[in-house]
Amino acid sequence: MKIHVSKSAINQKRTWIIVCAIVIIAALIGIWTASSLRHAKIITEVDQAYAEAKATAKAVSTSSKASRDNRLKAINKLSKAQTIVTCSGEWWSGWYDTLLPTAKAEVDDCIAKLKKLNAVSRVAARANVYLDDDAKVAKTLAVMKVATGSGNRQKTALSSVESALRDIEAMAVTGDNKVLIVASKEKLTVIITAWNALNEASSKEDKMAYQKAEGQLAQAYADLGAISDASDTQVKKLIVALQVTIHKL
Amino acid sequence: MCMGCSIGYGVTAGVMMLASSSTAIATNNPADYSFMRETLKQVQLPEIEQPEWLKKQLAAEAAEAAKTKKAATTMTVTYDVTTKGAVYASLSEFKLLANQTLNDSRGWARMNVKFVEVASGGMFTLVLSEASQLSSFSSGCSAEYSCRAGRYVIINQDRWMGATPSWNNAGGSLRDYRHMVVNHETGHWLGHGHSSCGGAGQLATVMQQQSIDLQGCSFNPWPLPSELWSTQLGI
Repeated sequence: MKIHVSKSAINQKRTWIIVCAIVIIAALIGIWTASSLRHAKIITEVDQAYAEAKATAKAVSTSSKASRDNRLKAINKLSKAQTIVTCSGEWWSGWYDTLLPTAKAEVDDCIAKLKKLNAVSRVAARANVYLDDDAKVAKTLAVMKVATGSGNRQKTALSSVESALRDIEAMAVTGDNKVLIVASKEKLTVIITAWNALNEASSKEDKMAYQKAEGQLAQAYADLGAISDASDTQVKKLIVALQVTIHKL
Repeated sequence: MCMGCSIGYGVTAGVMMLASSSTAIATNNPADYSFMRETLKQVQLPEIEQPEWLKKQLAAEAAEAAKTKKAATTMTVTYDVTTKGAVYASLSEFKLLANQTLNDSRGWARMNVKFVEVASGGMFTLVLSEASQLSSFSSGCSAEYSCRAGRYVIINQDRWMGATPSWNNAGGSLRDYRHMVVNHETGHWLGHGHSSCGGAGQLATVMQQQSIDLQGCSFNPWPLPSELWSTQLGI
């Protein structure tokens, strides 16, 4: 039995096939082009960003004229740089990076750079958190400044130390600020104890005890330097870590 | 959301912030990052006002210390010895007894004063004088008693040798009289005037005129504690 297929039907099918092929080829070319552009954009941006970071870090590590505020702002900004996990494009362009060896090499290089940038950001964030806490403690301790001419200095001094201690006790303790918090609490407690001893000796009109408490009080205030020492140690540790990380850029 | 976009732009944004700021990580001096040290430098122990009770205690102690210090300081008073007129009494004995009297622990020496005899140029001159020569020192001096005139502390030889009738009649010893007369006349030089008996039966003050009348007091050759002062020496 013979099957008769008309010529027009065959031609119609062929046309559809050609059209589909053209569409597919066009789509592939489009995706290829878009992926290529996307890949180039990411790589270029990371390269530029890395180069700029490196240049800045270099400038930073050789400049000592910036103000403290500017240093703190810089660390704060560094700490807010986003954490990057990959240099690969989106799902529709990711295949491009794996298909071409050159693209893959560029992505690998990009990832290495991002790792370093992320490390700087992470260490800067840690330093930034500590420096925030350090500034809060310093601000809290500043209430202990009692003007020489102010009335009822002794009462004001004691209440200001008690207030500072309460505020510091309310602060959250972290691994980095623990030494500072502990030193602050300890030194303030010693001052409060000495003030109380002085007041008690005064109420009892006990000259020996009063003079002893005066000496203890003077020593207790002098020992506040231990808080500065704790702060210095921690700041130095975190800044050195940041410098080391920046140096690796 | 396009993850790749956020990754790329995030890095750029972060690093651009870094690049745009005038950062300085060059120093690792903590003071370049922390306010702590400069804040704590301003936290000082306020001046503690001394309570009233302590002020009083310290003032009392200071006064006591000053008193002790004053008492502990020995002042040296120099004097020279001479005679006037015809003197038959032993000058060496006079000198010795006068010096013992002046430096006796019962006498003016209790003011922490040390009397030192010098050959000449003393702060006062102790004179053993013939009785008739007393008036040559001052019209206020008489041949009967001893006297003090200006820088001269004059002991009447007659009194030195025999005290006074009233003294002798009352049973006083010559030695005590000699102590008394040296102390009395030196007391004038120290700035004392005459004083009276404080009450019957009491010890006479050394500045009382015991040679004339005891006024009911008993003999006393030595200055009483109340007499231990001297305008001459500022004590």
